[in-house]
Amino acid sequence: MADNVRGITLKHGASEGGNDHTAYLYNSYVNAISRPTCDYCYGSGAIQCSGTHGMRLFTASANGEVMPAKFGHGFDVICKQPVYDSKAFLYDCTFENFRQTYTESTIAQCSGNFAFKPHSGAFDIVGGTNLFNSKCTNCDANSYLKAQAPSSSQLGWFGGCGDILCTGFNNYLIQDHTGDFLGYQGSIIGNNSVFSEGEGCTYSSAMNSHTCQRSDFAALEYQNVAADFQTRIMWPVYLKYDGASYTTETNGWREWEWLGNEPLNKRFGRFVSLVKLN
Amino acid sequence: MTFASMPPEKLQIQIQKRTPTGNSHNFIRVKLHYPKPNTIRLLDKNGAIIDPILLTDVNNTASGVLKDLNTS
Repeated sequence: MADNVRGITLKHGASEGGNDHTAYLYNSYVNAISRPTCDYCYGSGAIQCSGTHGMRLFTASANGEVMPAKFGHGFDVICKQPVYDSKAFLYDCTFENFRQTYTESTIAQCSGNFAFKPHSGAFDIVGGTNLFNSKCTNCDANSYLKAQAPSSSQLGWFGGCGDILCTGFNNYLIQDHTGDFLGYQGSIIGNNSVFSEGEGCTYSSAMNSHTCQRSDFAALEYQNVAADFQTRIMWPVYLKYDGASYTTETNGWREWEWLGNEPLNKRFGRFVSLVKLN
Repeated sequence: MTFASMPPEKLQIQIQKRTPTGNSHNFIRVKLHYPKPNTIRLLDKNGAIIDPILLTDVNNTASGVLKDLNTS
């Protein structure tokens, strides 16, 4: 994929009840600016070369859209609740020319390109992304992930996340298991200063993310499977490990059940939190 | 792990796989903290047993002398 505003989206639908939803991407190549020496290819009136991202991160939701009825952008939506568990594995993939600024005179007008970005509708869960033998060539260290923050518009009972923000955008990892992407085996943590600073990670304001030269982190997925799984509020959930200097706060799924324009107050007791492994 | 109210009676919990097959060396121990009870009843005062209230218990006539329930 070359010169696309959005190179790849990882997306599929699933039924409720499973606990292992996985996307795989093999031997792929995504380039933000494929012809950097071309002096007429990019910019105003030509190919867009700013504000692009290489891959939209994976989120599996219940009953995803089907082709060809939703061909095009209509397919790439999260219109039902995300199911339990979402994760992706990338093998031998190359991302190229993702940078915040460009010094080449032919593309100096280009800026703000990121290799990864969550799905804008992934309020509840952004799938973890695991990189193996994958790299980012001609990239800078502030262009790996564009991590968005939860929106205050999701506060409240009317279809929202209640009194605190939805926490899906706070609890996901991009982990480089082979060190080819980051230059070391480590993790990228989006928009979670409590966990990241507690674990001594390094902040990038451009990415709204932290990077860590550690891989002993994981996403903990847990859900209420009792009869009141959708009718009793038990959140937020607070996590703290022995000796930790911080406590994380995790919200349940937002409201997804509606009768016409009325929310039914049936939020899933389903959670994702970041944890440090043994 | 502390829930804001009573934790789920049945809780499904898993570490998201970081490799396609998972790694058995990756684990955490979860301590589930339950909320404080609304009332606490004293059952032993200076060595004297105070019987708990059981609506089905009609046989115990003296504190500390317990008999099987529903027998006579």
